[in-house]
Amino acid sequence: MAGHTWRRLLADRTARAAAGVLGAAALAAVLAPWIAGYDPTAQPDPVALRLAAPSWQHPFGTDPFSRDVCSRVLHGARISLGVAAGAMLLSVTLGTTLGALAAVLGGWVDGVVSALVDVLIAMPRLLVVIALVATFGALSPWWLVVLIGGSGWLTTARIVRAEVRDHQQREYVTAARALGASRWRIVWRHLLPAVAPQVAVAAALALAAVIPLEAALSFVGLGIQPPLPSWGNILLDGSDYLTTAWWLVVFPMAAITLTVGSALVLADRLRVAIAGEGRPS
Amino acid sequence: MNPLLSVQDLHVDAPGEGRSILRGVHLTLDAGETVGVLGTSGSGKTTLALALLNLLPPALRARGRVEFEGHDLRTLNHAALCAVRGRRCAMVFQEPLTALNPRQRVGAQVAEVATAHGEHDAARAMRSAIDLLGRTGLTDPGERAQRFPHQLSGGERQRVLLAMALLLDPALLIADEPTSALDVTVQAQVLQLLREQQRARGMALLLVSHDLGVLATTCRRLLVLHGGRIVEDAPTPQLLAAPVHPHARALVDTVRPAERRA
Repeated sequence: MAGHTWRRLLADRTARAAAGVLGAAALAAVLAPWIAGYDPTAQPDPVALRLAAPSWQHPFGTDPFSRDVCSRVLHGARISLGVAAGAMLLSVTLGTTLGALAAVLGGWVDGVVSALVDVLIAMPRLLVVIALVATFGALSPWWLVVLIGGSGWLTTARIVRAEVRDHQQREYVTAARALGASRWRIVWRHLLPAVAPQVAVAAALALAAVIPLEAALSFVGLGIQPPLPSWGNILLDGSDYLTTAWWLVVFPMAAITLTVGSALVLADRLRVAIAGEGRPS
Repeated sequence: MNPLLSVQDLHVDAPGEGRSILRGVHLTLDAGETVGVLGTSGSGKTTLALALLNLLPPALRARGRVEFEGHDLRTLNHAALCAVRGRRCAMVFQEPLTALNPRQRVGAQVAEVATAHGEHDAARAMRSAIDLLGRTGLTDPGERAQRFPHQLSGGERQRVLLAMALLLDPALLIADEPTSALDVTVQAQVLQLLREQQRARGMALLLVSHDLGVLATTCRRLLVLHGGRIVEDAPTPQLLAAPVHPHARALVDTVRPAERRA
């Protein structure tokens, strides 16, 4: 199943750079316990090391509790990127499954899924999540994944439904049916591979949307609860010291911007690669 | 003996557009028989071919009976229909580039037909696919099988499509304008291949085309489709010599204007 879209993407230097940044961020998140110099929650000397500026010992400085900001950003990546990746996978899987089912089965299934998408897409996601958190109290990271992922499948479902319906009308699908391929074999062998690049775009965009969403929730105190560090609550801790200790805000912000930006660039380059489909590479 | 294929009073309507495409088509076809369906564009040729295998797009509604080997294909359930398609009755399409999946290697697409009909040994399916590709005249079939559709010529692509249709040795092959998208020289080669395979396998062939020349050299019997009905049904020599219906006469005239004017 060698798609030309993927090959074109691999040949794209910008796409490779964006994927590299995301890969490095993921690696840093996985390896945080081994590469972080300090325990992210340890408060070695709240008096002498309070709000220390970046130095060789503390490259990103320290916070009001003398905790090492670099270690906190690295450990925060575990939580922030973990929640983001989990939520992205959940929403893309849900969206692809529901969108494909709606397109293939049609009838009332299509009606229900489409109506659900139309209604839910009109709701502001952040406010819905805030309302739910406010109702049920602070959530564990797992619940955050379920909540953010469960509310993010709409656009993916819409894209997949439209793409599958388009490809169902193509002659090669009719030809496959004419030679005895069953409905589900066609979904598996022809339709899903055909929409995979579009799903990848949706996944990259979902990642770019979910990272700031988790950060925003944690920033308003409804997401990841201290002392567990996340990019959002590190920013929250630093927001009081914006004028006196810039390093508290700049480093977690840079981490968010870099990963979100890379995901957006990747989505954009994927679109370019898809647009080139059919032309010899 | 019952005919292999028997179509009775087949109607196809496009309710959305408020028009009928087929208005009561009757036709029968015996095992091993070669029948041509002649029709100008818009006469409902492709709709007829698709309707026979229950492949009409959802916007079209069909009525009538399509009996093939004793089963009414119009009322068969999904699983039974899938078992007939490709194994007992196969189809070749007009435009080989769009009828092949652009994202899959052609060898895999031929082998897939066997896999879809219960062949679990992928290596064996691929071997028989490559073997058949070679017999349809593809040079270096092992190498060609690794290519994607856009890396083959039009003639090669149509050979791949034919191999897909012939892989399971069907009793009936429906070919919808199988040569119209090809260059004239390639057209003759593919037609020759089609005739050879039909004869070697003793399968029935329903060839649909707008080209009387193509049909006359391949089919024993010709049907003329006009305005959604079969207006003429005669052995090829008889139709060429003395067409009865005015539309059939007009079509025959276009092929031999000088002779008939004399």
